[in-house]
Amino acid sequence: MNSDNMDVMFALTVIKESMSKSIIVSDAINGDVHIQIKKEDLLEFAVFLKTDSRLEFDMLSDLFAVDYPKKTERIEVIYNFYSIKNNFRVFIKAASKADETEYPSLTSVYNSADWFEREVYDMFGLKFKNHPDLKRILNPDDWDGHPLLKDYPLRKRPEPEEIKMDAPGYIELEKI
Amino acid sequence: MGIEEHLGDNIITASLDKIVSWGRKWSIWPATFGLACCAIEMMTVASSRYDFDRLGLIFRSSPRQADLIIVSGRVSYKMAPMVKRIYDQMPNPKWVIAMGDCASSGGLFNVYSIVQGVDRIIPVDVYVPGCPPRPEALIYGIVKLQEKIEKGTLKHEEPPKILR
Repeated sequence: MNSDNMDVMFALTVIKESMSKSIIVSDAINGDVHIQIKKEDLLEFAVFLKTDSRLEFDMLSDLFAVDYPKKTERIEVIYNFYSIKNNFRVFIKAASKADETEYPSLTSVYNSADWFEREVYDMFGLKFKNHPDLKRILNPDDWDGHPLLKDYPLRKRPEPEEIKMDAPGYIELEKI
Repeated sequence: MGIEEHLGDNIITASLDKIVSWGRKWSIWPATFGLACCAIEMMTVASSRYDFDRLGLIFRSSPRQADLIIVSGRVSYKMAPMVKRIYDQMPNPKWVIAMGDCASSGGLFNVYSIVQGVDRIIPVDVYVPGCPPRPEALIYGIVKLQEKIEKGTLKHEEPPKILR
Protein backbone atom coordinates (compact mmCIF):
# COMPACT_ATOMS: atom_id res chain seq x y z
CA MET A 1 0.00 0.00 0.00
CA ASN A 2 1.51 3.35 -0.94
CA SER A 3 1.26 6.54 1.06
CA ASP A 4 -1.59 8.02 -1.06
CA ASN A 5 -3.92 5.26 -0.05
CA MET A 6 -6.30 5.70 2.80
CA ASP A 7 -5.66 4.03 6.12
CA VAL A 8 -8.16 1.34 7.04
CA MET A 9 -8.59 2.47 10.62
CA PHE A 10 -8.99 6.11 9.55
CA ALA A 11 -11.80 5.22 7.15
CA LEU A 12 -13.50 3.05 9.74
CA THR A 13 -13.33 5.83 12.34
CA VAL A 14 -14.73 8.43 9.96
CA ILE A 15 -17.64 6.19 8.99
CA LYS A 16 -18.30 5.15 12.58
CA GLU A 17 -18.45 8.65 14.07
CA SER A 18 -20.87 9.94 11.43
CA MET A 19 -23.16 6.94 10.92
CA SER A 20 -22.88 5.12 14.25
CA LYS A 21 -26.66 4.75 14.63
CA SER A 22 -27.09 2.59 11.53
CA ILE A 23 -24.02 0.37 11.97
CA ILE A 24 -24.62 -3.05 13.51
CA VAL A 25 -21.14 -4.61 13.25
CA SER A 26 -17.97 -3.33 11.65
CA ASP A 27 -14.70 -5.07 11.02
CA ALA A 28 -11.41 -4.67 9.18
CA ILE A 29 -10.21 -7.91 7.59
CA ASN A 30 -7.14 -8.14 5.33
CA GLY A 31 -7.15 -4.42 4.70
CA ASP A 32 -10.84 -4.32 3.74
CA VAL A 33 -13.58 -2.64 5.72
CA HIS A 34 -16.72 -4.73 6.22
CA ILE A 35 -19.69 -2.99 7.75
CA GLN A 36 -23.05 -4.57 8.55
CA ILE A 37 -25.76 -1.91 8.55
CA LYS A 38 -29.51 -1.65 8.98
CA LYS A 39 -31.41 -2.14 5.75
CA GLU A 40 -33.57 0.98 6.18
CA ASP A 41 -30.53 3.28 6.36
CA LEU A 42 -28.94 2.07 3.12
CA LEU A 43 -29.80 5.08 1.00
CA GLU A 44 -28.72 7.56 3.65
CA PHE A 45 -25.50 5.59 4.13
CA ALA A 46 -24.73 5.58 0.41
CA VAL A 47 -25.30 9.33 0.14
CA PHE A 48 -22.94 9.85 3.07
CA LEU A 49 -20.23 7.64 1.53
CA LYS A 50 -20.45 9.47 -1.76
CA THR A 51 -20.60 13.05 -0.49
CA ASP A 52 -18.27 13.00 2.52
CA SER A 53 -15.14 14.95 1.51
CA ARG A 54 -12.78 12.68 3.46
CA LEU A 55 -14.09 9.46 1.90
CA GLU A 56 -15.51 10.22 -1.56
CA PHE A 57 -16.68 6.75 -2.50
CA ASP A 58 -17.63 7.87 -5.99
CA MET A 59 -18.13 4.43 -7.53
CA LEU A 60 -20.39 1.51 -6.76
CA SER A 61 -18.21 -1.18 -8.24
CA ASP A 62 -20.36 -4.17 -7.32
CA LEU A 63 -23.61 -5.17 -5.73
CA PHE A 64 -24.66 -8.75 -5.11
CA ALA A 65 -26.65 -10.93 -2.76
CA VAL A 66 -26.07 -14.17 -0.87
CA ASP A 67 -28.67 -16.62 0.40
CA TYR A 68 -27.84 -18.24 3.76
CA PRO A 69 -30.68 -20.75 4.22
CA LYS A 70 -29.83 -21.56 7.86
CA LYS A 71 -29.79 -17.98 9.14
CA THR A 72 -32.96 -16.20 10.27
CA GLU A 73 -31.96 -13.17 8.19
CA ARG A 74 -31.49 -15.25 5.07
CA ILE A 75 -30.77 -12.77 2.35
CA GLU A 76 -27.67 -10.61 2.59
CA VAL A 77 -26.99 -7.88 0.02
CA ILE A 78 -23.38 -6.75 -0.25
CA TYR A 79 -22.45 -3.37 -1.68
CA ASN A 80 -18.89 -2.78 -2.82
CA PHE A 81 -18.06 0.93 -2.86
CA TYR A 82 -14.81 2.22 -4.29
CA SER A 83 -13.09 5.56 -3.92
CA ILE A 84 -11.00 6.36 -6.98
CA LYS A 85 -9.31 9.33 -5.28
CA ASN A 86 -8.23 7.35 -2.22
CA ASN A 87 -7.85 3.96 -3.96
CA PHE A 88 -9.94 2.45 -1.21
CA ARG A 89 -12.72 -0.10 -1.02
CA VAL A 90 -15.47 -0.69 1.50
CA PHE A 91 -18.01 -3.52 1.77
CA ILE A 92 -21.43 -2.66 3.14
CA LYS A 93 -23.76 -5.52 4.03
CA ALA A 94 -27.48 -5.38 4.70
CA ALA A 95 -29.38 -8.52 5.69
CA SER A 96 -33.09 -9.25 5.65
CA LYS A 97 -35.53 -12.08 6.26
CA ALA A 98 -36.65 -14.10 3.25
CA ASP A 99 -40.13 -12.54 3.22
CA GLU A 100 -38.90 -8.94 3.59
CA THR A 101 -37.83 -8.49 0.02
CA GLU A 102 -38.01 -4.72 -0.21
CA TYR A 103 -34.75 -2.79 -0.39
CA PRO A 104 -34.10 0.87 -1.13
CA SER A 105 -32.71 1.38 -4.61
CA LEU A 106 -29.38 3.18 -4.96
CA THR A 107 -30.06 4.22 -8.56
CA SER A 108 -30.68 7.80 -7.47
CA VAL A 109 -27.13 7.97 -6.06
CA TYR A 110 -25.13 5.60 -8.29
CA ASN A 111 -26.09 4.99 -11.93
CA SER A 112 -24.27 1.64 -11.95
CA ALA A 113 -26.75 0.31 -9.42
CA ASP A 114 -29.38 0.00 -12.17
CA TRP A 115 -28.25 -3.29 -13.78
CA PHE A 116 -26.80 -4.70 -10.55
CA GLU A 117 -30.16 -4.34 -8.86
CA ARG A 118 -31.92 -5.87 -11.84
CA GLU A 119 -29.59 -8.86 -11.60
CA VAL A 120 -30.23 -9.27 -7.87
CA TYR A 121 -33.96 -8.96 -8.51
CA ASP A 122 -33.73 -11.59 -11.25
CA MET A 123 -31.72 -14.09 -9.21
CA PHE A 124 -33.06 -13.46 -5.68
CA GLY A 125 -36.40 -11.72 -6.14
CA LEU A 126 -35.54 -8.66 -4.08
CA LYS A 127 -37.72 -5.65 -4.88
CA PHE A 128 -35.71 -2.45 -5.08
CA LYS A 129 -37.99 0.41 -4.23
CA ASN A 130 -37.95 3.37 -6.65
CA HIS A 131 -35.88 1.50 -9.22
CA PRO A 132 -36.68 3.04 -12.66
CA ASP A 133 -37.02 -0.23 -14.60
CA LEU A 134 -37.01 -3.30 -12.36
CA LYS A 135 -37.30 -6.29 -14.71
CA ARG A 136 -35.32 -9.47 -15.36
CA ILE A 137 -31.91 -9.06 -16.94
CA LEU A 138 -30.39 -12.57 -17.28
CA ASN A 139 -33.30 -15.00 -17.43
CA PRO A 140 -36.08 -14.83 -20.01
CA ASP A 141 -38.83 -12.37 -19.12
CA ASP A 142 -41.42 -15.10 -18.54
CA TRP A 143 -39.17 -17.13 -16.23
CA ASP A 144 -40.73 -18.67 -13.15
CA GLY A 145 -38.96 -18.19 -9.80
CA HIS A 146 -35.59 -16.81 -8.77
CA PRO A 147 -32.82 -19.35 -9.46
CA LEU A 148 -30.12 -18.39 -6.96
CA LEU A 149 -32.37 -18.85 -3.93
CA LYS A 150 -31.27 -22.04 -2.20
CA ASP A 151 -34.78 -23.50 -2.22
CA TYR A 152 -35.01 -23.21 -6.01
CA PRO A 153 -34.86 -26.75 -7.45
CA LEU A 154 -31.52 -27.17 -9.24
CA ARG A 155 -32.79 -29.15 -12.20
CA LYS A 156 -36.19 -27.61 -12.66
CA ARG A 157 -36.38 -26.86 -16.36
CA PRO A 158 -39.15 -25.93 -18.76
CA GLU A 159 -40.03 -28.63 -21.30
CA PRO A 160 -38.76 -27.84 -24.82
CA GLU A 161 -42.38 -27.33 -25.93
CA GLU A 162 -42.81 -24.66 -23.28
CA ILE A 163 -40.04 -22.44 -24.66
CA LYS A 164 -41.63 -19.34 -26.10
CA MET A 165 -40.12 -19.17 -29.54
CA ASP A 166 -41.53 -15.71 -30.17
CA ALA A 167 -38.45 -13.69 -29.36
CA PRO A 168 -39.03 -10.01 -30.17
CA GLY A 169 -39.72 -9.78 -33.87
CA TYR A 170 -40.03 -13.53 -34.39
CA ILE A 171 -42.34 -14.57 -37.22
CA GLU A 172 -43.12 -18.16 -38.22
CA LEU A 173 -41.78 -18.59 -41.74
CA GLU A 174 -44.92 -20.44 -42.83
CA LYS A 175 -47.03 -17.39 -42.00
CA ILE A 176 -45.19 -15.00 -44.34
CA MET B 1 -36.22 -30.73 -55.45
CA GLY B 2 -38.92 -30.61 -58.02
CA ILE B 3 -37.25 -31.73 -61.26
CA GLU B 4 -38.00 -35.41 -60.72
CA GLU B 5 -41.65 -34.50 -60.39
CA HIS B 6 -41.57 -33.46 -64.05
CA LEU B 7 -39.27 -36.15 -65.41
CA GLY B 8 -40.16 -39.04 -63.10
CA ASP B 9 -37.69 -41.61 -61.79
CA ASN B 10 -35.33 -42.40 -64.64
CA ILE B 11 -31.68 -42.49 -65.56
CA ILE B 12 -31.44 -38.70 -65.97
CA THR B 13 -32.75 -37.86 -62.51
CA ALA B 14 -30.71 -40.67 -60.95
CA SER B 15 -27.52 -39.24 -62.46
CA LEU B 16 -28.58 -35.72 -61.54
CA ASP B 17 -28.91 -36.93 -57.95
CA LYS B 18 -25.25 -37.84 -57.91
CA ILE B 19 -24.08 -34.60 -59.49
CA VAL B 20 -26.15 -32.38 -57.22
CA SER B 21 -25.19 -34.31 -54.08
CA TRP B 22 -21.56 -34.07 -55.11
CA GLY B 23 -21.95 -30.31 -55.53
CA ARG B 24 -23.68 -29.92 -52.21
CA LYS B 25 -21.08 -32.04 -50.49
CA TRP B 26 -18.20 -29.77 -51.54
CA SER B 27 -19.94 -26.46 -50.90
CA ILE B 28 -21.40 -26.63 -47.42
CA TRP B 29 -21.59 -23.04 -46.30
CA PRO B 30 -21.97 -22.70 -42.55
CA ALA B 31 -23.65 -19.72 -40.91
CA THR B 32 -21.35 -17.50 -38.87
CA PHE B 33 -22.82 -18.39 -35.52
CA GLY B 34 -21.05 -19.18 -32.27
CA LEU B 35 -22.42 -19.59 -28.79
CA ALA B 36 -19.60 -20.33 -26.35
CA CYS B 37 -16.07 -21.66 -26.02
CA CYS B 38 -16.63 -24.24 -28.81
CA ALA B 39 -16.95 -21.26 -31.14
CA ILE B 40 -13.27 -20.50 -30.50
CA GLU B 41 -12.39 -23.99 -31.74
CA MET B 42 -14.75 -23.49 -34.67
CA MET B 43 -12.88 -20.29 -35.62
CA THR B 44 -9.61 -22.21 -35.35
CA VAL B 45 -10.91 -24.72 -37.89
CA ALA B 46 -11.46 -21.82 -40.28
CA SER B 47 -7.93 -20.50 -39.70
CA SER B 48 -5.00 -21.26 -41.98
CA ARG B 49 -3.63 -24.11 -39.83
CA TYR B 50 -6.73 -26.32 -40.27
CA ASP B 51 -8.32 -24.41 -43.16
CA PHE B 52 -11.73 -25.87 -43.90
CA ASP B 53 -11.93 -23.79 -47.07
CA ARG B 54 -10.27 -26.79 -48.70
CA LEU B 55 -13.44 -28.79 -47.91
CA GLY B 56 -15.54 -26.06 -49.49
CA LEU B 57 -16.73 -24.59 -46.20
CA ILE B 58 -16.90 -20.82 -46.18
CA PHE B 59 -18.58 -18.95 -43.36
CA ARG B 60 -21.51 -16.92 -44.59
CA SER B 61 -22.66 -13.89 -42.66
CA SER B 62 -26.34 -14.45 -43.35
CA PRO B 63 -28.36 -17.56 -42.50
CA ARG B 64 -30.18 -17.07 -45.81
CA GLN B 65 -26.98 -18.01 -47.65
CA ALA B 66 -26.07 -20.87 -45.34
CA ASP B 67 -26.58 -24.64 -45.62
CA LEU B 68 -25.14 -25.61 -42.26
CA ILE B 69 -25.46 -24.34 -38.74
CA ILE B 70 -22.75 -25.43 -36.32
CA VAL B 71 -24.29 -25.12 -32.86
CA SER B 72 -21.05 -24.46 -31.02
CA GLY B 73 -21.74 -24.27 -27.31
CA ARG B 74 -24.40 -24.42 -24.66
CA VAL B 75 -27.87 -23.26 -25.64
CA SER B 76 -29.58 -21.42 -22.81
CA TYR B 77 -33.35 -21.12 -22.63
CA LYS B 78 -32.99 -17.44 -23.38
CA MET B 79 -30.94 -18.17 -26.52
CA ALA B 80 -33.17 -21.03 -27.76
CA PRO B 81 -35.60 -18.81 -29.73
CA MET B 82 -32.68 -17.17 -31.55
CA VAL B 83 -31.12 -20.53 -32.50
CA LYS B 84 -34.51 -21.73 -33.79
CA ARG B 85 -34.98 -18.50 -35.68
CA ILE B 86 -31.61 -18.72 -37.43
CA TYR B 87 -32.36 -22.35 -38.34
CA ASP B 88 -35.77 -21.38 -39.73
CA GLN B 89 -34.23 -18.62 -41.84
CA MET B 90 -31.89 -21.04 -43.62
CA PRO B 91 -33.13 -22.27 -47.01
CA ASN B 92 -33.57 -26.00 -47.67
CA PRO B 93 -31.62 -28.24 -47.88
CA LYS B 94 -30.03 -27.52 -44.51
CA TRP B 95 -27.99 -29.44 -42.00
CA VAL B 96 -27.07 -29.08 -38.34
CA ILE B 97 -23.92 -30.07 -36.47
CA ALA B 98 -24.16 -30.16 -32.67
CA MET B 99 -20.60 -29.31 -31.72
CA GLY B 100 -19.40 -30.34 -28.26
CA ASP B 101 -21.01 -32.00 -25.27
CA CYS B 102 -23.16 -29.00 -24.31
CA ALA B 103 -24.89 -28.71 -27.67
CA SER B 104 -25.27 -32.51 -27.88
CA SER B 105 -26.70 -33.23 -24.43
CA GLY B 106 -26.31 -30.28 -22.10
CA GLY B 107 -22.91 -31.62 -21.06
CA LEU B 108 -21.81 -30.61 -17.61
CA PHE B 109 -24.46 -27.90 -17.46
CA ASN B 110 -27.15 -30.08 -15.95
CA VAL B 111 -28.81 -26.96 -14.51
CA TYR B 112 -31.95 -24.89 -14.69
CA SER B 113 -30.94 -22.54 -17.48
CA ILE B 114 -29.50 -24.78 -20.20
CA VAL B 115 -31.44 -26.71 -22.86
CA GLN B 116 -30.35 -30.35 -22.51
CA GLY B 117 -29.20 -30.81 -26.08
CA VAL B 118 -29.99 -28.62 -29.05
CA ASP B 119 -31.82 -31.60 -30.61
CA ARG B 120 -34.76 -30.63 -28.42
CA ILE B 121 -35.36 -27.55 -30.55
CA ILE B 122 -33.83 -28.27 -33.98
CA PRO B 123 -33.05 -31.60 -35.74
CA VAL B 124 -29.35 -32.56 -35.63
CA ASP B 125 -27.43 -34.49 -38.33
CA VAL B 126 -24.00 -34.93 -36.75
CA TYR B 127 -22.99 -34.87 -33.10
CA VAL B 128 -19.34 -34.03 -32.37
CA PRO B 129 -18.32 -35.02 -28.82
CA GLY B 130 -15.61 -33.25 -26.85
CA CYS B 131 -15.30 -30.40 -24.43
CA PRO B 132 -14.44 -28.58 -26.58
CA PRO B 133 -13.76 -30.89 -29.56
CA ARG B 134 -10.35 -30.51 -31.15
CA PRO B 135 -10.38 -28.95 -34.61
CA GLU B 136 -9.62 -32.39 -36.07
CA ALA B 137 -12.79 -33.71 -34.40
CA LEU B 138 -14.92 -31.01 -35.99
CA ILE B 139 -13.33 -31.69 -39.38
CA TYR B 140 -14.15 -35.39 -38.88
CA GLY B 141 -17.74 -34.38 -38.13
CA ILE B 142 -17.85 -32.34 -41.32
CA VAL B 143 -16.48 -35.30 -43.31
CA LYS B 144 -19.21 -37.49 -41.79
CA LEU B 145 -21.78 -34.88 -42.84
CA GLN B 146 -20.33 -34.93 -46.35
CA GLU B 147 -20.78 -38.70 -46.43
CA LYS B 148 -24.40 -38.20 -45.39
CA ILE B 149 -25.01 -35.54 -48.03
CA GLU B 150 -23.43 -37.78 -50.68
CA LYS B 151 -26.15 -40.35 -50.09
CA GLY B 152 -28.91 -37.74 -50.32
CA THR B 153 -31.35 -37.35 -53.16
CA LEU B 154 -33.01 -34.55 -55.02
CA LYS B 155 -36.41 -35.85 -54.09
CA HIS B 156 -38.43 -33.77 -51.75
CA GLU B 157 -37.83 -35.12 -48.31
CA GLU B 158 -40.04 -34.57 -45.32
CA PRO B 159 -38.43 -32.06 -42.97
CA PRO B 160 -36.51 -33.98 -40.31
CA LYS B 161 -38.27 -34.63 -37.03
CA ILE B 162 -37.00 -33.17 -33.81
CA LEU B 163 -35.71 -35.86 -31.45
CA ARG B 164 -37.00 -35.52 -27.93
